[in-house]
Amino acid sequence: MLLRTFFLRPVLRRPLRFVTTVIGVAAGIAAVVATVAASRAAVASLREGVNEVAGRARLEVTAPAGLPEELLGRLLPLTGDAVVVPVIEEIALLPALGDAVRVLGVDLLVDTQVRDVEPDAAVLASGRAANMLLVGSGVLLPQRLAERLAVRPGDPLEISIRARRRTLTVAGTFAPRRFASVWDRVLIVDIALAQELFGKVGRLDRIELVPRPGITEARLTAAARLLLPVDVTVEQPRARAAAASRMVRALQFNLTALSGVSLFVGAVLVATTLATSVVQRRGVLALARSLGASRRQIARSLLTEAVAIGALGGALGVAGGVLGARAALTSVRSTVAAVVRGVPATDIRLPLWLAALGLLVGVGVSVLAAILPLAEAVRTPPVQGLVGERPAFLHRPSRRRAAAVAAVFAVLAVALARAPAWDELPVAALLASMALLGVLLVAVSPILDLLARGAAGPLARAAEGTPIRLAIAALAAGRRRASWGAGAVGVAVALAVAIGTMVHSFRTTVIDWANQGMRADIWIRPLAATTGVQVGRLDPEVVRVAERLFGKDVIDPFHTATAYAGTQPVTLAGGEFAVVARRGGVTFRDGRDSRAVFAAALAHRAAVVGEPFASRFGVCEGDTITLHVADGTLSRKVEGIFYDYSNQQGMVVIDRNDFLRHYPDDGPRELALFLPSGVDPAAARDRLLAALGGRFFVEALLNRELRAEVVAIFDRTFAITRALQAVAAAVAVLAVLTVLFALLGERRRDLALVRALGGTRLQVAGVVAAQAALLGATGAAGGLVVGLAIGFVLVKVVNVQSFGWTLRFLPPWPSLAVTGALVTLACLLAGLAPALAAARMHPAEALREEG
Amino acid sequence: MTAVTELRGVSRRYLRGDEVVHALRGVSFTLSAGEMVAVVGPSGCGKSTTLNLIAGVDRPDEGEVIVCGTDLARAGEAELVTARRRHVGIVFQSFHLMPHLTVEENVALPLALGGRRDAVRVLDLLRRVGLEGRRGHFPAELSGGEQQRTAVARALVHRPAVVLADEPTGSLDSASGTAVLRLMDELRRQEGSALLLATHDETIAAAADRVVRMCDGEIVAVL
Amino acid sequence: MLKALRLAVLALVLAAAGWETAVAPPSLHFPRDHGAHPAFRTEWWYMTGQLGDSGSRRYGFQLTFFRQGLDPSAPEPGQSALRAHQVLAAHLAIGELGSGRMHFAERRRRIGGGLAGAADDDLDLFLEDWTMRRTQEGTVVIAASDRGTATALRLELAPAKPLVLHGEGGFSPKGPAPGNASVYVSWTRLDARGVLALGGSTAQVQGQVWFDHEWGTSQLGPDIAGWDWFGLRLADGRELMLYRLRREDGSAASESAGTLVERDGSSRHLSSADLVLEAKTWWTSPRTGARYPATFHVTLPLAGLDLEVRPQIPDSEIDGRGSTGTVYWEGPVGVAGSSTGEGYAELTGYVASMAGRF
Repeated sequence: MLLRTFFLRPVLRRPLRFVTTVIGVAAGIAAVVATVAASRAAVASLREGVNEVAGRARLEVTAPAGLPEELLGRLLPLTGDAVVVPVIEEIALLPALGDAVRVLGVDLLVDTQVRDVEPDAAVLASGRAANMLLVGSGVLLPQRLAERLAVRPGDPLEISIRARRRTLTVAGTFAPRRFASVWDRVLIVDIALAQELFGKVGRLDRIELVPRPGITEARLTAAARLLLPVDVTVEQPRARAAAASRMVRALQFNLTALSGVSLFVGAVLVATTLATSVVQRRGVLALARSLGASRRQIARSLLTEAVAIGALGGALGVAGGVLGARAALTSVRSTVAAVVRGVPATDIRLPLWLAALGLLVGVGVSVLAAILPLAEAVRTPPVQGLVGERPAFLHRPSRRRAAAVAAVFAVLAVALARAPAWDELPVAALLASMALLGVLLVAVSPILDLLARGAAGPLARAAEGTPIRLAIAALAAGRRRASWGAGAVGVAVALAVAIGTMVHSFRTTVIDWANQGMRADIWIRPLAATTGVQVGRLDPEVVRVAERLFGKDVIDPFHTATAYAGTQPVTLAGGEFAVVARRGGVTFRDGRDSRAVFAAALAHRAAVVGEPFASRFGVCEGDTITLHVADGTLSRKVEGIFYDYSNQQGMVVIDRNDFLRHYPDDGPRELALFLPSGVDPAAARDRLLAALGGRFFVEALLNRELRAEVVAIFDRTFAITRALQAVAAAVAVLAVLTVLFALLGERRRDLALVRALGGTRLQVAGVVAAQAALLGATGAAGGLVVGLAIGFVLVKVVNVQSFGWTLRFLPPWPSLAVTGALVTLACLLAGLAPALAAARMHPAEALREEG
Repeated sequence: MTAVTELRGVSRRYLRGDEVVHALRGVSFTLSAGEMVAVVGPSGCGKSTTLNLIAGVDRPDEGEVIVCGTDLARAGEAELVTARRRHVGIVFQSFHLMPHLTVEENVALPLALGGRRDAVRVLDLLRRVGLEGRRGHFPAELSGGEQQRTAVARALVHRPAVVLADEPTGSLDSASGTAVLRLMDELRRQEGSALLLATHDETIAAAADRVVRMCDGEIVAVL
Repeated sequence: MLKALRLAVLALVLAAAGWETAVAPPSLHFPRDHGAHPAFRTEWWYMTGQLGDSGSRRYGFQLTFFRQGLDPSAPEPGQSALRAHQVLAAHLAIGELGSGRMHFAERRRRIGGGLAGAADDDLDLFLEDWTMRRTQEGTVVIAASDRGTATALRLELAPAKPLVLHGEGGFSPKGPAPGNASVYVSWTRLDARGVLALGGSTAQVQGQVWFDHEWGTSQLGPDIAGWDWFGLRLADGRELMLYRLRREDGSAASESAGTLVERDGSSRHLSSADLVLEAKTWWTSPRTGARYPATFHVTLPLAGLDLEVRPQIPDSEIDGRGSTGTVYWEGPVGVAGSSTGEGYAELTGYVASMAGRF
């Protein structure tokens, strides 16, 4: 009965308010669930991919530059205790799919004992398939992929490896027993074919050890270590997965934090709505109390309402989040793939805990948001509710106290922004952003008050200003609710401004960096997957063809390999210093001309390092760094530190000749071509492509094309960020609507009075619309200021801490101005509906019915 | 006759803006069972405050407000709730019906808040106030007189010892006002409840057993 | 993964193109011909025997290495050394005569990469840590163990009689066409001593063992569904090897044959006309449903032999689908009748026809 009286009945009679609130919660939760699910899917698939592909292998033998296959024989004494399995795991491009695939080269004769993959009946029955796989160029495809490509056993399958076109034969298909998505993009070939395809004859990527019954990992590790050279690692596959997820951790953290902000906006909205709904009903609640309802009864019904809103919103949010995650995955996937150079899966799975968490957060946020208004409703003596006194006059909120709290938040924000990174994550800096939002929320109320007082005097004297004067008076009267509304708008604007500022700063910096650093005329690289992920390397023959056509001294092949600084993986690269020393390249931090730096580096056999490397390992110009490389250690002096926005794990570049002394020539990742002046780059590109004659899947980009692509990749990476911005904005508009309807309800009598005293409909509508615009303008102004501050923290602190990138602080002024104007306008538009409602109101009716 | 309500030296002050308003200054009087007392006086003389104090929705700054043996001035929240639920029924000037509840639900509300249900009693009262046919309507669909008759039924449904009526005819035209008053008096006599009526209308006050005259928060005469 | 290969690898339905075939009595040189013959597609080295510990426990065992060629061509430049031109598989089966339990383990690896190999100049085989090697002293050492079944076997084997060349100087025709033949040699009696571990306990064992070495390319005639093979060591010091090649319809092919080895080591070729082999009782596998003959009646009038051959472990079905792709019956047998003795029997083609496989 009581639930029906105080909760269900009002919801049924006036569903709109309830629905708006639910949607507000849902939007916030959806944003969180979507980003968390998408980034986790990308990261988890990476980890699962490693574990699933590793199968039953419990130990892996690896070395930085791969293993010689002779190590297999060295492990012979171990074969009674473990199945010894050679593996090559590589990436190739499947042109028919337009995407990268993982190519898994295994010993097909023994792999039964390692991986859970079931080949189809046709393969089982055919000796020809086995022959194809073991002595031909047969490949096994996952069933789903074969269906998608419409290929059958015996059909040719074209793949691109190191940009070279290769034709394999489909020997059969397999169906993974679990984790279909992990295997979705995996081709299986025999280890020998893999060696031949990837130019790794005589070498292996790793050797997996599957212990036989009764053998412990520890015993096996010890035995293997005794048999193997010292520079070879014996560890669990988990370790490899952990290294991969460590790399994307910063990215994941930032995405989650960002989505947390949209939840924050959602929470503000819910608080606003609940507060207004409680205040709107104060008459009813006071009446109920005078008729004998206890505080507990009131509290219970309000809490039930909050829980219902939270649960419904949470459920909707989780559902919406999953849909959103599918959309977001493309963006996250390519970002993750770019970071770890893997091929993440395509499936979004909603883990139960995330669904539960979404619901829980929804309910928690609603209940928390309900506590403040609830306390007010319960504390208010019923008589005041009955008499109809305005809540704002109950006790005058202290502006001084608000200012003090705001100041504390501000100081806290500054302190947090100056705090160092926590475990390489910008936790403190993001907390600083939250504190700044706190400043905004606390400061909005006194600002509105000031505005009301300041504007009331002069405006009162102007006859035309009547609606505005009334609006200000109304806002001042319902200041608490109004400040929540303005706060919600402010938070949304702050978020938009902060993100906008960060993205713009980032984008501008990167474009400038690309313009200065990318000086070559043509870039050649392996054909990239449609996701933008570069697949593999260029065949060394491509370099030879280019050298033959254009001469050695205009070509800069860029090689990369993974090396270790201590235990941390970093990218070691080799570039043709002699060429860059003449033509110039990346921008150096100390402002020196890049030609001079490269010339010096070449002369002294020194290295240049990227900024993320320098900040990660605290390296300065002139320091000497030591890396673990394929054949031991490499110590080089650091000649210069260059800006690098392409890499966050850190990059060390040495001269190519130096590089090739330590690593075999597997072909470069890309190749830059500096043409003599007067040569038409487009014509030169055509010549090169003609010379490569369709044997290679390469992409040759002209200077401007590459720069355009840099921007495109950048925008794709930040797509999810922009989507979050949109969610925040939508939530803000909802907040304004809710608040205005609430204020309207409260001011019904006053507005009716205005009509009764001779005010026109237009004047009444004007009062409401002006109220909306004021609310919007206040929120927008506060949001702009705080947003810029947060943007500064993001650019100068968060980025540096999580990626090691120095960016310039470049707020997009024109678009910020437009944002402010648009938000005010949006609020004005949001105010139109309640304004119309106010205009339609019949004065007598409103005056007569009270409570 | 037993006293169902007794006020002893009750004072109440409000802060209105920066100014202190003395709504009541040391008011004392007794209301006996079944008795009808009218409190008359100009606006702001303290009529409503007196009623609010007896209704347990407001507390005095000084003095005792004893309703059916409980001093509401010192009662805990639970006792206040019990007093409101059991002993007091209220009729407001502006009806104060729950807008989203039907007539029948409004009348049943005081019972429901105490966890009780008595459909027969509710129907009986509705019949007696002549609203049996409108029991499924919402307040907004009723005339002022009908709304106030609903409020009268609600005030009596739980058989309170005291019915408080604050200008019950103030929002009504004189014909419906008279009808409501007559109905209220008739019903509370049948139920045996005392009625404390605040009004500024001398003709209404004339029907009371006693008249308490107030001015500036003080009782100036008891007739 | 890839049960595909379990079934198919050693049972390739391939044209014999590129492989050498046995068409005439070869000129054999030992110890070189104890080694592998990679020019031929199929080759195996079989050790079967019966062992006893110091008490009353008796065991039957087989340790067999199978070599299967997949690609006869020579490696091309740039080709991976891990290319599976040759694959080695091995079966280890140890049966307890008392409990009647058979413990089976199998291995498979490509030759190359250091984890499996078959020398071509002497008997020197290794498949991971399973080995079969001839020593300087002329004995053979075999070793194999498996953690899954908790079995291990290590024996030193000394030939008690000279090598027997079956058929015509080792040339053993198995079908009507030229090339439907194998080269087949045996040590019909080796004295074995060594260590056998089973289910956690280890015992010193000794006994007598039979060794077969056979290679060929398309040795079986096209309509041969399987064979029943026996290697029997008689108490009178003689040994009898005989095999019946079965056609799809169950009749015996005329190429069925045998060898009788005298006490002094001299041997005599037996043709299908010389002997009568008759199944008396049958046993049906609960796992595959295949119906195998169990007890045989063997009559060899020219040697005055009238024997009953009885399985000592009725369920000796070997499921080698994880390595050779075949399911067959191979177990210890006892001999009674005009002479007593012991030996091993191998019954193939009862689950799936062997036609075209060897």
